[in-house]
Amino acid sequence: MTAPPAGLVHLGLLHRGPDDLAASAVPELRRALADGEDVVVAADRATVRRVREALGADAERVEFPPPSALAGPSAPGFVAAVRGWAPPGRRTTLLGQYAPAVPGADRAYGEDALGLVLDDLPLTLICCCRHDEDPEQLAVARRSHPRLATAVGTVDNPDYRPPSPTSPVPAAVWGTVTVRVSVDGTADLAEVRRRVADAAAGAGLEGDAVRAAVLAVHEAVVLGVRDGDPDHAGLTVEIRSDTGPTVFCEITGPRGATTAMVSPGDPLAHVRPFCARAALHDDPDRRAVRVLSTA
Amino acid sequence: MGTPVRGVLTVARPTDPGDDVTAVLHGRPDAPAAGSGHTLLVADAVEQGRRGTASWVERELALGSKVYYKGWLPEGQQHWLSGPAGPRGARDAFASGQLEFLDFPTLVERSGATSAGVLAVYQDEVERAFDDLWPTVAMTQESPELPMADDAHLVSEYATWESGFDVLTGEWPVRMLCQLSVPAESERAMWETVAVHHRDLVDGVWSAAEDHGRWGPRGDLDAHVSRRFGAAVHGALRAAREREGCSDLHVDLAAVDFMDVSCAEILMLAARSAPAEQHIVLHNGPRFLRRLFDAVGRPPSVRESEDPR
Repeated sequence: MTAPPAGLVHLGLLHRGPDDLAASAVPELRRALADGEDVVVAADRATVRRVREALGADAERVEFPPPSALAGPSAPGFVAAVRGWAPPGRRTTLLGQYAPAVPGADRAYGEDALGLVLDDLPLTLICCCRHDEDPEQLAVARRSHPRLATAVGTVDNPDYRPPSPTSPVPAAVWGTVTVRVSVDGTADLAEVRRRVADAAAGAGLEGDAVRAAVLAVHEAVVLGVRDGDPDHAGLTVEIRSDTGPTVFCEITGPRGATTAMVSPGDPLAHVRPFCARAALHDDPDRRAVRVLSTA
Repeated sequence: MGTPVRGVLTVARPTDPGDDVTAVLHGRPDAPAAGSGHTLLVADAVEQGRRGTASWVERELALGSKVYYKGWLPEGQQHWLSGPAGPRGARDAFASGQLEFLDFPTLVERSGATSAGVLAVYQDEVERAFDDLWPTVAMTQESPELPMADDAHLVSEYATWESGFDVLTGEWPVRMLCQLSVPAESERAMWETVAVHHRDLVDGVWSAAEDHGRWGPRGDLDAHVSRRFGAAVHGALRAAREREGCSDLHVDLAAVDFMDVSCAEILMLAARSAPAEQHIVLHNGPRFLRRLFDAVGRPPSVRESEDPR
């Protein structure tokens, strides 16, 4: 028996139907049961039937809720919902299926979000997608899982690609806005720092993690101020911090006239050393800078 | 020297005792209540500067100091000092002679706008106050709006008389508050004023002081004040080079609550641009600040002190 995994294990499972799904899932489910984990399979009835048959008596130790029990990947608060699937103090293995009704783009947002903030979660998540699924969904499943569950156990996924640093993940997946601050100029920076520090401390960050979160957001706001009208930058800072030891800040405002003249290079290079993720999204008239800080 | 101007202002009590005329100087919570000093008060806005100055004057009046105030007297209007935003007790102080006002045109006329002339005016005021048995003297002047941008000689004269103020406050129980109103001054004037006053300045959320050979910024150093912080660093480096012996600048970071990338870069760039023999020695830098300096690029001329942490 191998040592139980630590933190989030995010597995993809590509299959051709219930029999194939069950065959690929059972080795990982048996490992989880052997390790004493809670095991949850939220799947359609045909798949549940095959899994029950394959597990035999061990199926009695598996919970089989309906697929609707799981939050959609682009639902507001999705990250917080996933955190709720893994109660603290225990390890959980959960199998879910891609739902055809969810657009591929939304699916990608959710998959990327999990890897960004839930690394420490005691959860093995098995995301199942049919080979004959919508090509966009299949592409997401192929590229967003570092490892795959197969009939011979888990294997590296050669098609895996880390999330793009500029992926426009819907902000709502990080939870609800708990703080909103308006910024017109650098004189407002002190208030932003105070509010971020409060949010970070409230989310459970401590010491240098709080200082880093404050600095990263501060710098992102400075970028927005410098890019716009110096006296009326018209920025809005929104802070979401109800997804565990995580602070997500989004700074939005008009896209400044100087943006096009910014020299080549990463405008957030000085922010990145102090946060888990920073991303810049430019539309013709609007700019958004996002900063994700974790413990 | 000439006769001081006494009681030239129409002083009115604040219309409402609750008016915000007692705002304290921010950023120096441990500032001593007495003792000599030569401090710069920086204000982003006129009203902000007046609030800080009013609280300072009010405190000096309460301490029983002779207070000399120099500033611009607006034509046809009363000076703010005698209006509702002025310090409490100003009316009685003018009447008793505890508070005197001298307008800048008269100061220029008397001093000739030379360093020797300016210092002579101030020296005369100090001596006269002590002749009148005032225990301490408080002197403050508004942002002078000197045309430094076009006059290098004036910059030199300004630096000389400010050094003279240091001597004056070092020899006598004199407290001096120089006011800098950022909107009223040119970039050059702002730069030189802050550089000259790097040893003791208060600027909103940050301040700086010098203690036992260490220059200590404190509070929040961010993009809003980065140019002024840069000017102060420049002034501190310049002053260190003028000392005899070691020209290294020792910077105590223990009281820095926050520093952003722009200010960290300024400190590191100042070290890069200093002469080869001059170093910046950092004392008491919190771990996170050291991480920040490493992130922006720390030149070899910046080194950590060997003080025990």
